[in-house]
Amino acid sequence: MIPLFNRNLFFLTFLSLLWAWQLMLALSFGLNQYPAVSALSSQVLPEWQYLLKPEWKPFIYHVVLMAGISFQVILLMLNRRHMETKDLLKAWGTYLIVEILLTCLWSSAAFKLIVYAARPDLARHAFIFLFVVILLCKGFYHRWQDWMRTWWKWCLYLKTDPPCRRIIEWGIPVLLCLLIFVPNVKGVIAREFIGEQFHHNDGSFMGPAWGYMSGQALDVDIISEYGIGIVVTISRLAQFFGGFSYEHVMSVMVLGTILYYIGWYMLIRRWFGSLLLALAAILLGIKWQMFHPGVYPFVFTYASATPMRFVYDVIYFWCLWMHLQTGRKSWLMGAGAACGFGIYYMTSEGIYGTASFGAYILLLLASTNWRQYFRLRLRDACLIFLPFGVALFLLALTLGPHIASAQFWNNIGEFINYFLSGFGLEPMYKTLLDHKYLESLMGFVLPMGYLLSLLILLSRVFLNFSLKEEWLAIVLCFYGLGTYHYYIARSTGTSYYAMILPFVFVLGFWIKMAINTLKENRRMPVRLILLGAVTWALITNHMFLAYPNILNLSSHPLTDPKVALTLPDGNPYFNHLFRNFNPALKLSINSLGGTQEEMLAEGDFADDNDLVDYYEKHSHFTRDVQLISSLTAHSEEVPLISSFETRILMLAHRKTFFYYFPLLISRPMTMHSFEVCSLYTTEQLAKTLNKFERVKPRYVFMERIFMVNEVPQAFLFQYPSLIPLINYVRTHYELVAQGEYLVALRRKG
Amino acid sequence: MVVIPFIFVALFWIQALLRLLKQSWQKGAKIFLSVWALIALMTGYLFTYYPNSLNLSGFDWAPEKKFYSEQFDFSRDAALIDALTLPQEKVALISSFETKILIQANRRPFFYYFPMMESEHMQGDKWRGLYIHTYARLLRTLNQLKEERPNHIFIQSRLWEGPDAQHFENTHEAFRQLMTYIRLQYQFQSKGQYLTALKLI
Repeated sequence: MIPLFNRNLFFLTFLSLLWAWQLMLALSFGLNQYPAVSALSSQVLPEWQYLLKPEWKPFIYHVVLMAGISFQVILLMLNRRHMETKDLLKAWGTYLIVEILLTCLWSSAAFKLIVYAARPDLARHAFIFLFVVILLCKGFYHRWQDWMRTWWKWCLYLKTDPPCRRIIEWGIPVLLCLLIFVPNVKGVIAREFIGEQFHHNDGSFMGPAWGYMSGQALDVDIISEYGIGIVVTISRLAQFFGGFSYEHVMSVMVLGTILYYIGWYMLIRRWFGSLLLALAAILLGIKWQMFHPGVYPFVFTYASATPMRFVYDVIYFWCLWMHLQTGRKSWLMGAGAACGFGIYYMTSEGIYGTASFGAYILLLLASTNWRQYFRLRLRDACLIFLPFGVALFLLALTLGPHIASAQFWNNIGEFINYFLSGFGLEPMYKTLLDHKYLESLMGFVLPMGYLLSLLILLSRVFLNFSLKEEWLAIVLCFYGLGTYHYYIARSTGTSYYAMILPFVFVLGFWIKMAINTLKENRRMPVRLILLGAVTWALITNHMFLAYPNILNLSSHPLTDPKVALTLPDGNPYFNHLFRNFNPALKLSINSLGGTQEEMLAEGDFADDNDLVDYYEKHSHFTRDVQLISSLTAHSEEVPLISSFETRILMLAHRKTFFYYFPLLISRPMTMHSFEVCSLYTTEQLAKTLNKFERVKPRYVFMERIFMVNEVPQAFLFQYPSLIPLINYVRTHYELVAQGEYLVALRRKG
Repeated sequence: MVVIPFIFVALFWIQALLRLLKQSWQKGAKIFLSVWALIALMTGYLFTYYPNSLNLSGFDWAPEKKFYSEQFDFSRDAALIDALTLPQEKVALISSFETKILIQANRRPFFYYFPMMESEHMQGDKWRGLYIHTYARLLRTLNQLKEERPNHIFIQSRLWEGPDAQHFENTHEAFRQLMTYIRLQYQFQSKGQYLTALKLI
């Protein structure tokens, strides 16, 4: 008698189920091309028509059930004599694996076809392609075993043949370039301009960067919320690329990201000792870090969430790796210096790196074996202070005597105090309240993963079981726990993904250790499967498919509805921040005295060139730039109260007057509304007004809409800092000239 | 409801799998599964509100009962039906809670499509319509009225007169045709709490 858990019986049943499932997918797709009709449609009363939804579902359900049974009967009849042999699975095994793989891919295409019903083109093409492949797969069922063997031989050949291996080794950095490089930089800037009015990048980077490039001291004359070194480094590199502009800054960020990922790839390639695993880890890192909903729709729209935020860490960990390999203290000093640059570059990230560096040194000193191995002495603990020394040195180089002023240190502490006081923070269970369980779970998995790894690895250090390569994982865990503060402080959506790379590398380390426990001949297939799974996850991600790289399936990825991302609810991304603006807060006319707001959407542009043309036409503010240039001197600080103030001042080559800059959160110039002001406290408002009283600038420039004499009372609550500021200007200044969107006012008396 | 056979099939496979384990592991696994199922049940949000004797949520049902006793007493309307119809007579009633009212009046329903209305709170301002989904059903209901010609029709007052009645007629085709016939053939006779009695002209 055949037992219940007979291998062959289960295998044949599984194959029947796979075929039945495939039939269901094919029938659903095919029949849905012909909408089902109902005989009742003319009978149902109008008020109940909404209930009438004829479907093919019952037919498909019954056909699939019958098909499953029929497939099983056929397979049993064909194989009934082999049910107790071991040969059956050998003969069909490879074919079954291919069927499982293809069915998973096909189901995934069907899933995307349903979930992305508003933009189904890519999923439909994938579905039809896989449909054909699945049919062909059955036609060649007897050949798969041979093909698989040949393919495996090729894999082994590529692995062992030195020239091929060299090509692959060098091919991976090229692949990373192709994945990340953005050829149409002007196009993505145009999308940023019309998509979110430069909101994020102006606030986090371009505003302070322009201040710095125009000769102002960061955190003295102009606020720089994210640090000093990041502004200085990227601005100077952009200058090197041909001049400080939105386009060149974007190019620097893209290039920096490419180099960052290549740097990490080369490091983990050595650490993991496996090209396949290192590539899988890097692709997973790119997928999680660059293509998560928190950076929708394009990671470089949010400079602070790109790898440019922590770009220094690749140098830091390379130095640590070299120290682990050579034992030379110079590498340790290099790591300390990298952390010091980190503090200078972006204070928070540098502090996390420095903390992990300190932990590394203290742990080495505490462990007798390792202290002796690396020939460390107690006085080497002083290296912990090296990052602070380097940071102060770099700050002094940048700021000069301002580094010794109380004003600078008070200013630098201002935003830190806001965060410590709870300003702008969100609870960690916010995603749970929004019923986004998977997003929420991941937020908790990260610190637990770090802690679990740390506890195991530290225990091994103190029990003298640890290996040298484990130290990098230990430091990564400390560093990862530090960078996780990004999510602890502001637990919004999937923001933890911005800082997930240390977790990916620790995960890669554990996978490497697990694979090493397998037999030698099993390791490569497992690595190939992991790489395949990660590649599939990356290339089927809609954010990746929309990413405007060279590999994009569309030649106009920014506007082509096949790939361009709208908002998740289907509404246009362009002008999304203001499309549903409260009508009660709108005035009757805009700055031009007209009523047209021109809230364009993606569909209003024929292609990416059309989008760039629009940007070129509407982002030069020529008349307003001329107005500013004609009334102010080249080196003068200009008080400008307007949307796109960074861009306008850059074009006019003028410094900003305001410390809190950009002062306004930009909205389309043609809107009939005021803007939200980025002065968050009464203290900031008083500081701004005091500067007006102290400096008494001769001219103030502001949007024409602010000259309106009456506004709804709600404006006092909606714009609590902008209204007093405008009132001050209107009281002390008088109108003297007018540009396109701006007016110039001169101080009275 | 439809999941019960699946649970039994799943248990069959679990049992078959458990037989592969050692005796002592089998026992442990069964205890684990039982405890897990019990905890899953007891922590289910809907189960905690289920009005059994455990009342895990500690929900106070008294206000619900009070509301029910106050809002679902149709004795005045039942008395109206009782006064105008014979005990064995089928009663044509077009109203929310028609089942409850007829039970209270101890009368049989007249309409084949019964209940005819999707009930809504008597004081509510919404109306969810008639269960007459097709023209065939509408025709059958109208033919029933024409052929059997009941002496009285009882209708919820807000459907007979007032702004709601007009609105519902404009938006519901079945209701419009039904009321066109009723308004031609019947006239006002008397009123209860929620119902109006109409008499065949």
